Amino acid sequence: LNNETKSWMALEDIEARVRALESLLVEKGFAEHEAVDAVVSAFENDMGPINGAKVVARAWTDPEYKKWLLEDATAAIADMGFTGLQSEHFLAVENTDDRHNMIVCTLCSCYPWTLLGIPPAWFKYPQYRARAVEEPRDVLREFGVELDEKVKIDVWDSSAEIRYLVIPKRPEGTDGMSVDELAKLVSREAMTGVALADSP
Amino acid sequence: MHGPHDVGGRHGIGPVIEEFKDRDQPSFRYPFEGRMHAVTATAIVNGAFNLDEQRHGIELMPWAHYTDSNYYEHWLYSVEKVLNDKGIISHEEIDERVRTQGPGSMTPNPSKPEPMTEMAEKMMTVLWAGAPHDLPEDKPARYKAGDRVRVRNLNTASHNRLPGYLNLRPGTIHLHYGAFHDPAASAHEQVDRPHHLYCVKFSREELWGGEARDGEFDLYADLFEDYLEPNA
Repeated sequence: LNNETKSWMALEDIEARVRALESLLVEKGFAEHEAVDAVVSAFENDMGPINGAKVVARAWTDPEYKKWLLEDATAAIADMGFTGLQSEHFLAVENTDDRHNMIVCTLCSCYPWTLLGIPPAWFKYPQYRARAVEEPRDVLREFGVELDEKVKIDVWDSSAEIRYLVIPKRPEGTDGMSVDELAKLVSREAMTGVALADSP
Repeated sequence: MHGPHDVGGRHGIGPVIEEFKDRDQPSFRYPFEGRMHAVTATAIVNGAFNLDEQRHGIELMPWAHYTDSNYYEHWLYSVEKVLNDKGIISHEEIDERVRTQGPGSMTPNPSKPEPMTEMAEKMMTVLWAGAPHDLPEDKPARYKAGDRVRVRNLNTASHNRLPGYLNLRPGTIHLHYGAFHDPAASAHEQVDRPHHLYCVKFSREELWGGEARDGEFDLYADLFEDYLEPNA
């Protein structure tokens, strides 16, 4: 049994109820079908991990920008244009040879929408949220990440309105790669700390 | 409140679901997920309720329903409840609409309207502008980075943003962010009240005690000033 195969309501019943809710909200003037279409489309097409990857790739190649990002992530990320709902206040944390960061929201699923898109299912369901704060190393192993024993883990529980960005370590063998090429190595998993940046 | 949402450190919930780790998972796994997300954001922007009311509605879900449901069922439950309790749309109106609306299906991956409507434009503006949560400070901060604190023994059954696993834990102020809008005031009174917010650092031992089973780690949580007391 798990949340993937089981649901309190049948999926078609949820769909029917969401459809009813939307039509009533439209009638009461709190929504409009076209506006809902536009918002879904924006989440699916305009926002997503490529935005965060551009920030990371710039930080990897521009030491001044990385310094700014670590000191004032809100301003440094806004400089790239990635402000917005659930992306109003940021803290950037950097992975190094002896430190690995991972992000969780134990109370709900707080996540920087504009910068990284809609959170992936593993971030939203209770399994990861329960365990990341107590057995982070085990959770990382489930994601295929085995850290050296000397690497200390910092877990960040986003319990208020600050959103987090992990700056993964720049992989070996990427000298001379362009910012655009580097950005392709940065997954949303790497920016939440359950993966390393991909190798070229 | 320590509702079913407050899962940090809870045992027995199981491993991360294998399928969810697939990097190619779409933003929305079913069309109703995207519409539920988007209609909620639209209703919030148009003033039906606020984000903290929505979060509190999820906290009030029956435990088994929370645990055994699709993530967006949480949103559906909460939005229905908040709209019902505020007298905007009753549960009965939704029941009736479900009965009478007839069959239909949601279009996956909808496109933006052409031309964009006024409300669609407004939503795009808000999506990219955000709604900052910080406020001017109304009094000096009580703590500064490095101060030792302890989380108070808070067990109120109303909205706050204090994970239950932190109750009574000693920790250290890592950062002071400034004043942010208090989630309880927002959820229960629909007002913006400034409240100093801190990032507090806890060691694994301070949280969980005993021997480290699998290496040491530190945990950081963002906590409001009234959740804390000095710990000399």
